[in-house]
Amino acid sequence: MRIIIKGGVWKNTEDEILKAAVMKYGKNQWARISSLLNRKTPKQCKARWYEWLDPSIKKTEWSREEDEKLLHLAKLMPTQWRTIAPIVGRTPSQCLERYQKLLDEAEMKEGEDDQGQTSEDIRRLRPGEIDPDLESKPARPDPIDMDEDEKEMLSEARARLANTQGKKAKRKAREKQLEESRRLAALQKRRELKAAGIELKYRKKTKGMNYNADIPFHKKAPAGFWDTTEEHERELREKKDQTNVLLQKLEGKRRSDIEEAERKKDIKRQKQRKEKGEIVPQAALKALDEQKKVRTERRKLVLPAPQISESELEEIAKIGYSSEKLISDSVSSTISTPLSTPLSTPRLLETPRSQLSGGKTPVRDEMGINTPMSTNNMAGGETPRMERARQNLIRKQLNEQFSKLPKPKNDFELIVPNKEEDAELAKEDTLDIMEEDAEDVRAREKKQKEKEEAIRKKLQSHPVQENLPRPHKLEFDEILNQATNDIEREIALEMISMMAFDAKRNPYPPNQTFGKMEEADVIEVVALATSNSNIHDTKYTLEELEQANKLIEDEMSTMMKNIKIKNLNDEFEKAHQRIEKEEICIYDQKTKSSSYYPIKKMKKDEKIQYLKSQLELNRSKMSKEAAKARKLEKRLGIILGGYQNRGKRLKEDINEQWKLLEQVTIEYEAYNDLKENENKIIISHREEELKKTVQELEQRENELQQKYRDLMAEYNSLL
Amino acid sequence: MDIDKVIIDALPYIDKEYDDPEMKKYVDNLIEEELKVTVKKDTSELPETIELFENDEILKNEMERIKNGEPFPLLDTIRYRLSDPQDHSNVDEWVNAVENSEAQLEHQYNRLINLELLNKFGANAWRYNNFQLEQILNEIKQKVDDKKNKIVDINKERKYLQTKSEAKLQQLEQQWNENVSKVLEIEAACHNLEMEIKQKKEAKQ
Repeated sequence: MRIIIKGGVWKNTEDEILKAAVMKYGKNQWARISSLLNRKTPKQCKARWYEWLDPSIKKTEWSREEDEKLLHLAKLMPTQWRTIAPIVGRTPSQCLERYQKLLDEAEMKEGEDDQGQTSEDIRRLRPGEIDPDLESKPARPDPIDMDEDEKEMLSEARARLANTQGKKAKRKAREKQLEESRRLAALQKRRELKAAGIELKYRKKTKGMNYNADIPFHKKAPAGFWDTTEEHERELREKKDQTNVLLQKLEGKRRSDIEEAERKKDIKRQKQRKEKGEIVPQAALKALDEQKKVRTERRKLVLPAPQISESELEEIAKIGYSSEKLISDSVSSTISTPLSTPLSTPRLLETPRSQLSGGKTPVRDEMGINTPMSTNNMAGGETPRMERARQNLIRKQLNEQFSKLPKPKNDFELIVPNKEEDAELAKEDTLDIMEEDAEDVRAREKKQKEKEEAIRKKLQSHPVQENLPRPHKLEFDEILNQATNDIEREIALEMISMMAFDAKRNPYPPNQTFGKMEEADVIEVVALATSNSNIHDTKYTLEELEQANKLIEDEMSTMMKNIKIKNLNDEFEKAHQRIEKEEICIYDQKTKSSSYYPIKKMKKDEKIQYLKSQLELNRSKMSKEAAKARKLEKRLGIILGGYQNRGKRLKEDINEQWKLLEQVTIEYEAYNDLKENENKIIISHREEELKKTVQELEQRENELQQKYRDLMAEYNSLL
Repeated sequence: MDIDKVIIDALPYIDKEYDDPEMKKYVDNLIEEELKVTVKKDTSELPETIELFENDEILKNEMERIKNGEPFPLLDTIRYRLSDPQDHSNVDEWVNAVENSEAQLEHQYNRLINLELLNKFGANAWRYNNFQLEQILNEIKQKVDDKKNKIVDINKERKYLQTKSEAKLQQLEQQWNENVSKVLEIEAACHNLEMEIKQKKEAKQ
């Protein structure tokens, strides 16, 4: 590689380039400037500027004053040219040169006779030597025919210096130009399309994003009302204090945990099933399969016996195909079966053949002349056109045949059938056709039963219907004895008969017994009273009962008009209260019925027994309720404990603060009184007291002065 | 000496004697002695004894009990036990026992109802109560602060008034001192002069 040593005499072109470059780049980018000059280093460029090209450098002759200054300063600061130079107003090298020159001149004046070498001779460059400070020498003028590389350098420098824009600015300008041309092209295109009658909607393309106007990732809300309840709910949910919530709760169950649980469950289920025997091991299944396989071996193919025997076949062969009619009429039915089977097996490599065409070469027989079967042949036409033609033909033929039919005669008679009969008939038909569902039958039967039951119930007396308590012991003679007059006796008899009736039909409880009166007696009595001996067999229908009810109601209404009793309910209440007071209701757990016993008639033991049981019952109830209450109390204690504690603490605080307030109030009052006192009385009092004493003292002083004066006079008089 | 006519003319912001520890001790001793001697006079105008609940026997007894510092008598829990009557053969006692049990049962139902109500409304009621208590506490605190601030203000005022008159008092005191010294001087001079006159007179005689 060739080493280029930069340097050399400065040429005019180089100077000019340097000046222009400094104008552009300033005095700090010497490397950049030197890149314009092939033969100079940055240092040299800088030196050239500061030694020669700077316009502030004086290149005039040295004045006398300057010389004096220089000499003086050189003596003060020997060899410190850089310090001296700015004071003198020249460059350091200029100063040095001038100084040496002045010294030389002085030397010359001193020794004119000395004929040795002059200093000028000594300093002159000898051939082969290089001038050390080329920078401070005037430039060499340009030759008329400059070197090629010099020219190149000049043009390049000119181009670079002329370029006022940077890389980015250039790129931008180019992009702008391109954009403009594109826009123009688009405009032209649109205009031409418009001229051709094609209207294009011009949509302005938004380039990039307008950060002042647009919102990033903004999704516009749809028009119309927006249901915000959900949002509110969510907000509420999120608002809830979540500081005290476990992270696990917030995050929910983890997937792995759920899967683990599921797996466990699965294993458990599997185990259970195994225990139950629902699961059969795999090996057993396999064995079963194999067993089945053995059983389901392929059976022998059993074919029906041939319809045509060998001899017949031979005959056919003898006859040959001489007569087609023979085949089609008689034999074809027998022969076709064996023929079609082998052909129908699909052979993959062959093009599929339509089965119905039967392997025969299709004969063009549009008119149906050759084969009488052709009309039945559904796949008759090979092409759609032919098919259509055939259809048309058939239609035509049909129409012709229809036209030959005799014309219809419209002479019919309408007979309206009896509708009910018809319906019944239809019903029978449907019944015949459809068998009724077992469920329906059951439902129907149940309904029927219920209906019957209801009727039966209605036929019973009211106490039975309402399941009211009835006497266990039927003591009819007592009832009869209670009756005082005939009317009451009548009523009693009626009652007895009713009770007996009920007791017979619906004994209550099942072992209901008659009292002292035997059943026969009852019957007798009742029979006597009502002239009806067969009370047990009395049968009546619902209608009769209703009629009876109506009769009673009528009578009641007429009676109510006559009697003063307004409210039956009040009467009943009175009666009830009486019973409550006098009788004891005992509930029997076994029969689930309650019965009343008169207290008066109860023995002491029985009473105590009853009360004891009652107490026991209450006790058990009590313990149950108490347990419930205790549980509730415990829970409430947990719920309200915090509040209670807080309330207690607050109360304590209030007490404390109240005491403090009392104390502070006392202090306040005391200080207030003090202030009043001090302001009104004490200060003035103190002042007055002091004043008084001072005045007294003054008075005393005056008196003493007087005394002194008197004494003085006396003294003087004595002298 | 009649106490009512003595004007206590202490001005604590001016009189600094009490700051001196010995003086303080002396003063405190004096106060203690005085307190020993003086009989406390009850200035309260309230009647000494108040008869409360004169018409209500139970409340009166209760007041008496609290005055005497007796503990609250334990509740009679026998009837809650629902025990059998002592006399097993007495029907009336049995009836009483059953009736008592029914009453207790009713009471238990009442208790359950109350608990249910508490369960439903208790939390809210407590919260409300606590809120009210908090309000009261805050009010009282505010009052205390107010009073404290007022006390500070009053003391400031007192100090201001006292220090305002301090200059005048001091001036008067100084005057008094001067006057005293003057009087003494003059008295001394008088005395000397009298002595001299006496001597002269004696000499003459």
